[in-house]
Amino acid sequence: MKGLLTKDIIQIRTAYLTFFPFLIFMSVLCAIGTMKNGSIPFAILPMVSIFQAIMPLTLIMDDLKTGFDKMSVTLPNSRKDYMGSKFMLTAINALASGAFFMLVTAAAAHFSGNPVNDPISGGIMISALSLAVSAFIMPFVSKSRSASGARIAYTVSLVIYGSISGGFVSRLGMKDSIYGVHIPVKTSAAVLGVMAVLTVISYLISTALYEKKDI
Amino acid sequence: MTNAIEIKGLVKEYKEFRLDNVDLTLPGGCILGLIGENGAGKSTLIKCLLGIIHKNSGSIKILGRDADTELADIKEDIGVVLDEVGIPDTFKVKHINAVMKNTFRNWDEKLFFEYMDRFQLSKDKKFKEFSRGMKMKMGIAIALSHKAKLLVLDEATNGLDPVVRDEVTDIFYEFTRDEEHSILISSHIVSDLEKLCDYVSFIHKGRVLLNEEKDVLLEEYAIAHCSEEELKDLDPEAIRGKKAGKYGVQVLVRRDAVPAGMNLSPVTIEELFIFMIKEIN
Repeated sequence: MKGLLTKDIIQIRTAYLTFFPFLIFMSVLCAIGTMKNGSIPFAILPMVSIFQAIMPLTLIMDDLKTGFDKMSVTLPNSRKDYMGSKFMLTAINALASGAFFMLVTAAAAHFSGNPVNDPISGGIMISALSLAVSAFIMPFVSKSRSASGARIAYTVSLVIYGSISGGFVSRLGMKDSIYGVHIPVKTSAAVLGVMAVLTVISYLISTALYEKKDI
Repeated sequence: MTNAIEIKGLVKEYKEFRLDNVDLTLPGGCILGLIGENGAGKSTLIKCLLGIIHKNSGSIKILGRDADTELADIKEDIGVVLDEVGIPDTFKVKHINAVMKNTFRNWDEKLFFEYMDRFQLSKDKKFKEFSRGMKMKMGIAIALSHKAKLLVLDEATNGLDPVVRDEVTDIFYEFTRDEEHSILISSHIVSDLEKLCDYVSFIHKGRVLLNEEKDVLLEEYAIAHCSEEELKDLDPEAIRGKKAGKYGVQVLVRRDAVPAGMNLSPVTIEELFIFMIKEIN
């Protein structure tokens, strides 16, 4: 698995301009809000999570396009190792994204003398929602035999996920959904715990599908 | 010595194609050429061997070990080059080395970079900027740089120019100087395999027609040049294929079954294959 993770980390490093600017932009934008009153616009967090969840999925689609998925089977890795490396990366990506967001926004709130509860909760929710997106989409992507098949599975899953998020926003109304929602830290932590369990279930399903697949 | 590869009763079914009860043995320390036309099932067989696709039934042993239960471990000792080398487009040589160093226990970094120099592969170019031939050379370098005992090469010399093909053939010869090293190589460019192989296996429409030592085949068969009348006098059991030419008929025959004094010329593996396939078709 070490070789697979090395490959993915090198790919992320060579394409970091694709993966990280949006997170940095949104973190800085939200930090401006936390400097004013310590609030996080929770309703936009699903959007951030979706963009962050793209990264591991993009790596799988690239493997399908370049044929690395086939090559990895000829290396001394099992298919379980391949899926394991992708889920490990998913978890690291989700936690790191949430931690980054939390640090930037909490620092802005703290140095402005505002409470840090929302920034902490926001960071945890980004991690949780990022895991949720990946957990939902990975089984479909792991079953795909081609990059275009994976892209279709990914797009359909995003539409479903986006519709659910959009449904919440439309129920609450735009103003309330941006500034009216405050999620306690304990609730966010509980959501993260649930999403972690779902991610494990998704890993088991994705691995089973990948092991059965003819590459 | 343990057989490098033992395949028994291998079946793989698709809608319009079936790999049909394939038996194949590669003795240890030998080179086996898997010859077949496009769509014959060479790549399907190799993919089943390596676990890229799942077989329907049959048993596979690699280096004396059961491929069903120990495949990931066995691959430490196998170097594989498929018809396409699946490296990410943005990777350079140093990135590939870093990945393989963390993948293979016996990765030889010095040897890998020696192959980069030998194959004249630029260390600064991204993989997507390599030509097809360069990509194949990279695949071959990776396969040879981790002390593999078995090389599995699927159309690995396609896309290489004649000079490089010759160089790569020499490298494969060097590889098998160690008696514990074996090679399974598939190609439809039979002339490449003819020079290299100890054993040949003909595969046609998913079935193995023949699996024999190359030298035995070349001794056993010959091409007879005769007229239609002379052809009628030949024992039908001796004939394995025929082809009408401008000045008569060329017939693939078993040497021991034709009358003495018949005009015979040596056969090449390529001719042997073509005659047999035409006879079947």
